[in-house]
Amino acid sequence: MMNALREPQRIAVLGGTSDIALATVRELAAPATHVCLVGRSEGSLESAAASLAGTGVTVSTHRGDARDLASHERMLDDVFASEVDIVIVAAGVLVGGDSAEAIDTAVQSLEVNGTGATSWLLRSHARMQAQGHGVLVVLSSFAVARPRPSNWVYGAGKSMLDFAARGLMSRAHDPVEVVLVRPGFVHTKMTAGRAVAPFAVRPQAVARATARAVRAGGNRVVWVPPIVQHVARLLAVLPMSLVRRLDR
Amino acid sequence: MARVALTGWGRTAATLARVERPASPEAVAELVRGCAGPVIARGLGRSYGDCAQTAGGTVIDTTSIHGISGWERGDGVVTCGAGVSLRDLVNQAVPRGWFVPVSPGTSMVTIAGAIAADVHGKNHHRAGSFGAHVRSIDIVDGIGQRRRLLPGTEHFRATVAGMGLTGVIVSAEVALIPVPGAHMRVATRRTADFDETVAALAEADRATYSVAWLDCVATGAGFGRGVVTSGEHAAGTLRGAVLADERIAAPAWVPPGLLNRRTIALFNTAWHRRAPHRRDDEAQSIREFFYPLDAVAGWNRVYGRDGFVQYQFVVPDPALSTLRGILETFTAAGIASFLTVLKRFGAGNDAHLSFPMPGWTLALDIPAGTEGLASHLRWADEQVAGAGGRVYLAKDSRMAPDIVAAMYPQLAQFRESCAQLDPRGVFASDQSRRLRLLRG
Repeated sequence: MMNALREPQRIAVLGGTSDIALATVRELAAPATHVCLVGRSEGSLESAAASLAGTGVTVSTHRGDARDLASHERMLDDVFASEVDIVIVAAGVLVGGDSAEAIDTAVQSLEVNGTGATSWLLRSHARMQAQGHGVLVVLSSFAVARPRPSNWVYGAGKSMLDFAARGLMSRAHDPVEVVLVRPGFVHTKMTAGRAVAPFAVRPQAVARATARAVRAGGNRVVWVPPIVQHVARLLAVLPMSLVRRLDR
Repeated sequence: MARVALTGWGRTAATLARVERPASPEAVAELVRGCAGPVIARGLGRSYGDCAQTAGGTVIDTTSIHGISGWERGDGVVTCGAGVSLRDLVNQAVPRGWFVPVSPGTSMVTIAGAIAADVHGKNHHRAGSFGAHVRSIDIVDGIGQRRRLLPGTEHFRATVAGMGLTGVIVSAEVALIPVPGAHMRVATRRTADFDETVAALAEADRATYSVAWLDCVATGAGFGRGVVTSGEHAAGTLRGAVLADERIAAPAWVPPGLLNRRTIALFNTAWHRRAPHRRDDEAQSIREFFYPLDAVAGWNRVYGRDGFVQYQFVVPDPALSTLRGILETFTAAGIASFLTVLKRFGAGNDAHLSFPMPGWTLALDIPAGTEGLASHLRWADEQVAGAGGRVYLAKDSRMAPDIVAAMYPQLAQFRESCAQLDPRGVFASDQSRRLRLLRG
């Protein structure tokens, strides 16, 4: 159970090697918090776990693949062996925009960012509903603001997750809180080597804003940095010709 | 049925649960039989933390189980329904020449809650806690059966101070104390520093009731200054309504941060200055002496949206320096408490999770949004546990499981009783889930 000071006892990270998620865990965790890291590769999970050393938390690692839908319930049985206060849905792969030549890559990314992550979200939500409480932190993206040539495939996947998260927020009397996070460009291993967009931030900035929202309680949409919310509004009304020109 | 958001008196950590208000023990039994769990009883919601709520489960509000009987016997032993408040009981008892044996800081607690939290009062050094005055408890256990528990038995020891985890208390026999009148004779001493406060409080142990209010903000020479009050029941009239409804109500909305370090400091200084240096034989009503905060309805709202944490701990007599160290550290760190109360406890009892032990207890009310509060309280937990003391579960809203096990060495016996009384494991509160009170 989360205590009066909103300190969680158990956090699960689905997509447990995400830089943003790990930074968020560092912000949210109390010394006695247990962290479940779920991911595909044992090795990356181990180094993610090692990166949390020194924070006082205990860590367990669990194998889980967002694309392997059949494995989701079994994995969540492990994670929800005791009550989970916060689930961070962080599965994500970044692919280029116009993937007309690489349809397989595009579809695979939709399976991770879209179907897989959404399946994790819905299944975690159901379990939290059963336990009567919980916070879902959903890592969406600024990319959902408007399709752009450079990242609409990524945006398509994230849009599915984003929409489902807002769907959960729309429900009345739901004991589960949803914090939907839409960062702009973040310097992470996922974006390494890519052209840096304006208003770029570090994972720690996303983590701090997310932790603030979790502590405040209730359903929240968090844009990081806050200004990208206004950029998104602007982008939504600009003519596509201009969007195309800006998207470079 | 719609779920209701519930919190404790501190207004933190709300969770949703289905709330049922059975009007009889039989209705409670039926409810429990029909629930797969988690289930927890709730009275008037004066516990500060998350002990009378259970996320996603069923909360049994016992305040509709009324009734006080046994006055005709004339021996002061009365049988009360779970939901009888101390206010009801006092109002019926005083005109007959009786009074509740133990009064916590508010009369708005139920008999069942007073037992489940084993509440204490200003007479603890003489009279012990509430459980010492209970002759029998009727509970509905985890399979929906009604049981009568008697003092000296294992299940009684688990149910007193058991935070409602052994079953739903539906009624209890309580032994009242005779009083000569409806008023108190009160002595007040204003003290200049910590040592003087402690000395005055130790001296006040000779009185039936004693307590000290501390200025938690004063530093330097004035550190630990306060106001020590002691009281005796005074002879006189027994007539008149003793405890009426609240006179004023706190506003429904309070700007966040109204109570901050500055305003708390201002209040503390004013409160200290306002007290007389020395006054004896002042006549006070029972309400003024025992339940001063009951004059303001919903006073917990003044802490605003973030709510507050009450931190109450006890350390054994020789560890008074630990208590002083915690207060000094908090004062220096700007962890400001609106109301700080110091009291010397007498002997404890044999209830497994009972809080009082011979020594000194300090209670602090701290806004939950206070910067650095979590780590300071964690540090204080360790100091308290290290000194052989403990933190009061009825006030707790933020401890961790390991430290609680260290503070309450009889936790294993408590769990054993719970397992026998509730083999299905239906009873659980947010607090028991958070602190793993029912399993390690």
